[in-house]
Amino acid sequence: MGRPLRGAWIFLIPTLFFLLSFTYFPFLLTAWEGLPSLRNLMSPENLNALRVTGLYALITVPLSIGLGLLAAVAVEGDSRIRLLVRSLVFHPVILPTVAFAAVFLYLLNPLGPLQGFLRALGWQNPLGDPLGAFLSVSMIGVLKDAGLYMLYYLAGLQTIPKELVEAARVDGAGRVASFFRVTLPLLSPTTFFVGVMATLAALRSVDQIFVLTKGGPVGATDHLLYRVYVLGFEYFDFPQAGALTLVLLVTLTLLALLALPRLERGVHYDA
Amino acid sequence: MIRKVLFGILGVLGLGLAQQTTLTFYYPVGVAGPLARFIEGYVNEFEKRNPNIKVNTVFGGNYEENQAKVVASIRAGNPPDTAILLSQQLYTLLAMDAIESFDAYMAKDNDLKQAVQDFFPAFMMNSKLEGKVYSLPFQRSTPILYYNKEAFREAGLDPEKPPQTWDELVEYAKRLTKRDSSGQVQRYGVAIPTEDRSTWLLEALTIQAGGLLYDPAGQGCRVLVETEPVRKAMQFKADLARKYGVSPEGVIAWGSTPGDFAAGKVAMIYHSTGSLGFIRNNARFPFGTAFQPKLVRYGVPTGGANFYLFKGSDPAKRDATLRFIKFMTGPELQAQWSLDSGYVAARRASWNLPLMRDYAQKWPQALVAREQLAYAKAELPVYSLQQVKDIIAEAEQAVVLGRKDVREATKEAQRRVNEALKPFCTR
Repeated sequence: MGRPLRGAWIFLIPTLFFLLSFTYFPFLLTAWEGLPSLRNLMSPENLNALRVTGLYALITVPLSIGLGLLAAVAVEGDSRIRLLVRSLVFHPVILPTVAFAAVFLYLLNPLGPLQGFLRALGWQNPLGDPLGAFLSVSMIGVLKDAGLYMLYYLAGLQTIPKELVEAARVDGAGRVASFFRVTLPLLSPTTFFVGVMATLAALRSVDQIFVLTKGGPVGATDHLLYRVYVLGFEYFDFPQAGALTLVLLVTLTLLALLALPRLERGVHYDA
Repeated sequence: MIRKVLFGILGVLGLGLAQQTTLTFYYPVGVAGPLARFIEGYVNEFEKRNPNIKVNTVFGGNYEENQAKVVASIRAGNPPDTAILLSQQLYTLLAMDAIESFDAYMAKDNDLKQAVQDFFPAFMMNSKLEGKVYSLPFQRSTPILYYNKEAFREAGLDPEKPPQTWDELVEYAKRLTKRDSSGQVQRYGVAIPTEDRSTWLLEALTIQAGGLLYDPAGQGCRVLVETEPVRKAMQFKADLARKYGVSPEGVIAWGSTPGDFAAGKVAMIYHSTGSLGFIRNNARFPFGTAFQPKLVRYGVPTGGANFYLFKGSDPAKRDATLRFIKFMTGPELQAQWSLDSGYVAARRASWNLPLMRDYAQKWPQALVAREQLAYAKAELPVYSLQQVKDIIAEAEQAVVLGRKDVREATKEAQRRVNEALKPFCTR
């Protein structure tokens, strides 16, 4: 690495200006307003929101990554069918989440088109039941993002030299073994990146909750961000909303600081 | 020469600007149907009749979203000239010192004073505090019972005799619930939405059970959850699905219920009279409306939203603002609005207009809500409105889902409501 350019800061001014005025300044303002309320944060409602968000991430992150990877491996190549499947899996990504969720409002109606199927599952009214509502909201998050992760994985797959997979085959590894021993480890930079993206998405995922469940029933889908919105803009309890935002931001920062170096060490950047 | 022309143009522009008053107006839409289009149409009509007033309309979403937007603009020091907010928000808005009463203007403006006296008294109950008038009714409603006459006939019930008591409701609903050979429900007997974040229908059932969800003398501070009528109301809702099997299990969404009714999937629903327009346009079968059945008495809370005046908005625009409010709450417009949406025309004078008479003759379903007003009570008036509603709605959901015993749920909700009201109610 060379010596930093002496005039570099001049080029940073525009970016810094926007970062300062729209990110750091509001952050400090939030901290200022939220700090005194920090000790009121252990309310059962807030703890519930924390639990819901954690569970949501725990479910949606591995599932959406897994589905994305599966789809990528399945549709790699140029045949027409594969292109079609690829666009089908990718389609939810380009839809606004609100529109995507609204479709499910219709599909998951207790008397809607999926009535027989839902009944067979024992969920006549999935959105009206705590577990059903939580799973529905999670499923929408997974379906929405899996297509995007598929795209990343497709790009990742293209960087793997074919010779490596072929060499493994020649050495007697089956399809499954060569996937787990060669392809997957070589995809780890992509997996790392997608993992970070998926975790962020899980913590920011709130649109379908607005459309489908409004945090209910009995708080089962009361995601942290939704709770911040309700506290701030419906209860007008800005100090508590600020405090909760602060917790969210600090958690995210800590997570990033802890996770980044550790994860990077396990990542195979060299083919 | 050129200079003269330029000055002339500027002069005309300046004159135009000086005379033009621009108002900002936020409004919500709380029921199904293209109501925003109607409201925009009325505003256009107002502008046509008042060429020197321009109204910037802001469609704020549903009631909660619109409230959030208005409060955000108040906090930013830039309140709208007027907005339509829930009549129940009175205490919350007063606690923010955000609104102004109409009394000073009523003293100067006889039209306004007469208008205020012409509203149905039931619709003014949530507007008044300590003798002052803080809001004027616009989109007002009561919850009513809608029922499918075709389904009634099919089940051997008299389509002109809707159920009058809770027992009858259950009995009718049992007969109206239709299953196919595999036991799958084709049509439910009744749906009473457990609206995700509202207590409106619970209040109705509580009144019918002989109670009231709040103390009318409580100054926005006394909510009564831990009472026998509330317990009966919650239990009744739970029983419809869990004991009698005549209603979908779990929490029933408010928003999709009119659509389910219009599609013939539920034979009877409890919903706002504001959904009448939607149901009229979408149901392919004859339907009736009726008072909600009683346990010990008839009764419902009024509902809906009113016009407010905001402190901190430009006082120079007050005349234009009041002119606009008078137009929107006037007898002609209220009649038209009632036709378009199903909301109850809030002015008594509206009901004597030929327009309204013809309508009521053609759609007698529209009269039920007005007649039910005689049995109406004010809707839960309380500080921290949304928080209190959420606590009670959550308790209700827990009972409906069978997760909590009704005694335990109401006890806990009462404790939490008292806690939430503490900052405003130290007396």
